[in-house]
Amino acid sequence: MAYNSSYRVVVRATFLAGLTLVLPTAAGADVRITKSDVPAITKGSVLNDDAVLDVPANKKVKVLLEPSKVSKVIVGPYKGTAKDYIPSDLSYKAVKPPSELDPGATLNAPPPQFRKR
Amino acid sequence: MCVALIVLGVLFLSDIGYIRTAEHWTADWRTALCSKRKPSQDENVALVLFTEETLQDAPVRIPMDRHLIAKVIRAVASAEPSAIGIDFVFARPTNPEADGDLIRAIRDAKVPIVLVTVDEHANLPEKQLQFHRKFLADAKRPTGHAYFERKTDTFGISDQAVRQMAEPGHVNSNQQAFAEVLAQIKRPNAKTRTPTIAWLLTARDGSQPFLEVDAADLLGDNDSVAPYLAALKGKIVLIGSDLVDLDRHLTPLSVVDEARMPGVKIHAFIVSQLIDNRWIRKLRPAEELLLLLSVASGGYLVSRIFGFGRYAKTLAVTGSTALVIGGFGAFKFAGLVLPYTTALTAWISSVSLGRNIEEIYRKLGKLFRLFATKGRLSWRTIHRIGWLFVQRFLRD
Repeated sequence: MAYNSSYRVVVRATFLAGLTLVLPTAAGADVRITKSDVPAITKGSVLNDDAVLDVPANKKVKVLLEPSKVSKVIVGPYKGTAKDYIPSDLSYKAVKPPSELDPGATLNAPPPQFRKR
Repeated sequence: MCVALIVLGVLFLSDIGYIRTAEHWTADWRTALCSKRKPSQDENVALVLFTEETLQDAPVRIPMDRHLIAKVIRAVASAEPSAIGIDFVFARPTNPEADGDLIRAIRDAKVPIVLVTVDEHANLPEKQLQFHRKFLADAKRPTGHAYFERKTDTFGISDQAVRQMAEPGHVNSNQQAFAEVLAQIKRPNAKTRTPTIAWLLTARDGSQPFLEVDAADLLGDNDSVAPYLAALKGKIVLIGSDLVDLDRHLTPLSVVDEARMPGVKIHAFIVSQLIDNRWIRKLRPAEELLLLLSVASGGYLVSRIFGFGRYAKTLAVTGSTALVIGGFGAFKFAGLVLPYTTALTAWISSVSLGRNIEEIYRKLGKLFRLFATKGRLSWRTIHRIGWLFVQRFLRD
């Protein structure tokens, strides 16, 4: 009987110790949105790493994964977590468009005070 | 003899602009599909980019506000990177206070900083070149040249893609390349072995080849900036622009979608390959000659000696497929860019020659006989006309 109770104590203590080790890691695993074309996913927000991102076609979301400190560009259509996102061989590139429009002008963006609100 | 003639002909072909373009095209596809994929993001190099979003609220877009650049340099330096590479050519004065602030930020940083430099190849007016040199002298930091190299064609418009670093001797000055100076901070014996750039594809965990941080993200409050600074620690950080209309280049990776890459990213690929000691190379002339001789001899032997000549088309297709697959394998596992167009031409010509050699000999013989007869006749005629001409000249 005494053996059983001490056994349970050891098991519980081990479980708790394990939990204390795992919890900070889980809490520390975040996804920081560094750039987003998707209105529902705002730049600067920090999500849990198990948060599902819904990126529609032709949209991109750039994230910084923590604690690994690596950046990813998630190209839509994609629905899933950021850590699971793996582009296929050529998916980070769009298919070559049939034609391309080249602006034949010098980009001359006006200062903010002159921009239309 | 016939095989040697084929090889010589094929080598001559390889120097024609259109054939070289085809060679580049096939090499570009191999690069886009089979370049190295690291398990995760490169741990040595990171990028801090001035994007359109970074400059969204700046009163002037170009030249960039040098106070802003100074702030970003100070922020990056506070992250304790291995080194900072600044991929901006400062070639004209702006607000003197901002210029001074930038010089101080570069000079006072506690980490190694390398600046890019250009020479007469950049076609800047002399006044701007003078300012650029003075700026670098005031900054008192090591410099490296900013050039990549494109191979251009005499005929037509070349494809403009950057595939290699500038070869030594092609730049006027004795400057080392910017990427080489940076790489040597992390790996002192880093040295260019072959000029071809060894590109990286998206890592196997789906991350970009290099960590990319928007410069604006380093200018917020301490809490928001901390994760980015932590990510930059210990890396070589290249600061440059990723703007829609400046310093963007076609690369072999553009073969899929024609997207242009910012120059600073190309420098990052070179720094990374120098640190990793990772190389790809084309065959040396002697190696290419040996390969073509082997391919042409193989094709001729299989087709003529071993009696497979009647299956010439199948042989041509099978051999070409094997060469294409072999080329992809050689690139992926040995970093070798085999010459496709010349090798395929050598194979198909030699297989065809092996099959039709008897007929070719017969036709050639006929032609020689015809030429010999006609030649004798024409020589006699020329001789006669010449003699008449001389007689007339003597008479006059």
